[in-house]
Amino acid sequence: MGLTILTIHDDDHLYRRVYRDHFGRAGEVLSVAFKFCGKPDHHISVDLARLTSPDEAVSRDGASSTTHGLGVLVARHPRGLGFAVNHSPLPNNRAHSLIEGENDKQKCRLLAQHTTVLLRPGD
Amino acid sequence: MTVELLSASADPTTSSGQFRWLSAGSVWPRGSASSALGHVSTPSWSHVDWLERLQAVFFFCLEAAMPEPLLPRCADFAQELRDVYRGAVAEWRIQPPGGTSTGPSDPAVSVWPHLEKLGSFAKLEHNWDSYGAVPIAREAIRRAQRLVLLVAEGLGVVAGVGGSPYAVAPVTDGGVYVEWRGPGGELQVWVDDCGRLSYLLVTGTGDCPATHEQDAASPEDVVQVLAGLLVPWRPA
Repeated sequence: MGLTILTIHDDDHLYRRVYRDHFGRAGEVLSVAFKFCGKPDHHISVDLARLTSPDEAVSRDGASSTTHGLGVLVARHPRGLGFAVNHSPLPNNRAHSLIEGENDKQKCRLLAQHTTVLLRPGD
Repeated sequence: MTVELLSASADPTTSSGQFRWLSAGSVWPRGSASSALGHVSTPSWSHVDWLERLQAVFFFCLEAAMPEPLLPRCADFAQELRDVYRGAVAEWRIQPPGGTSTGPSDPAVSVWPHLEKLGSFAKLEHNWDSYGAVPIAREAIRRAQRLVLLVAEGLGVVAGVGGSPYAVAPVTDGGVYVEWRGPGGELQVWVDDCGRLSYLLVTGTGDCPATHEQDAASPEDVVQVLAGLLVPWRPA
């Protein structure tokens, strides 16, 4: 059976794991959480919140709640920055989605500003 | 000054060892960092001189180039060297630029936790962020540590807070991120895995701050930009 692709609505919430050193002193998410591979990441992996749970999302792919927190983005915010937000399920993660598009340091900063912290490392 | 830890040797029968420094040209017996102060030919090392030596010890240990009997003691030696450094600062034997030491509250001491945190990034393994991140390049760490110290030395006293970064963080591509915040705005510096610098400068507040991206920046560029951010403006 193939993986069903869902439509992500503007109001959908997206989970992004955040490494413990990517939090600022005030507990906010730093811009660095949205950079990858020498240039800002053109394919940022997130989880579609309605298909998973915070505890499940924070502990995927070798992460744990001690080393990672969990941030939440509302889909309309990355779209407002020019990104596409699409459901891209994987065999081991049906919630997997991608924020895709040209990124730069300023967009990394804005993505971080739009991220609400749901879980902090150690929660 | 080029500083390099040339070699370390050990005597398996006694578990003692020696570190040989290129610049000093002298041999420091392990466990005698205190006495080593009197052996070097340049008694007035700067903060950067000290940092280079500590980096050399740190990375030499990490790369396991040290003979096995000595390896467990490497961290002890680095700790001892650091304590000597702190003691020298406290006793005003190390003079910051301008020749006036501020004693125990010296900027280089105030940024020490950030230097240590940057050093700890060398231990991060593949996929440390759970999204496929690569290990952090030693060159990125070295350059970031030098930059943090350069800023502290250049601006720390006048900035009043030691010129300390707001945050230091590993980057998933093997680089390092350093952020400063001050009355004039914020500066995000990205050090790539080859040690190259770029930055995002954000000035002003509110919903529409001004931003400027700069690639191929030099450490001196960063210090100059930070001078406008960290040092409170005072009317003439």
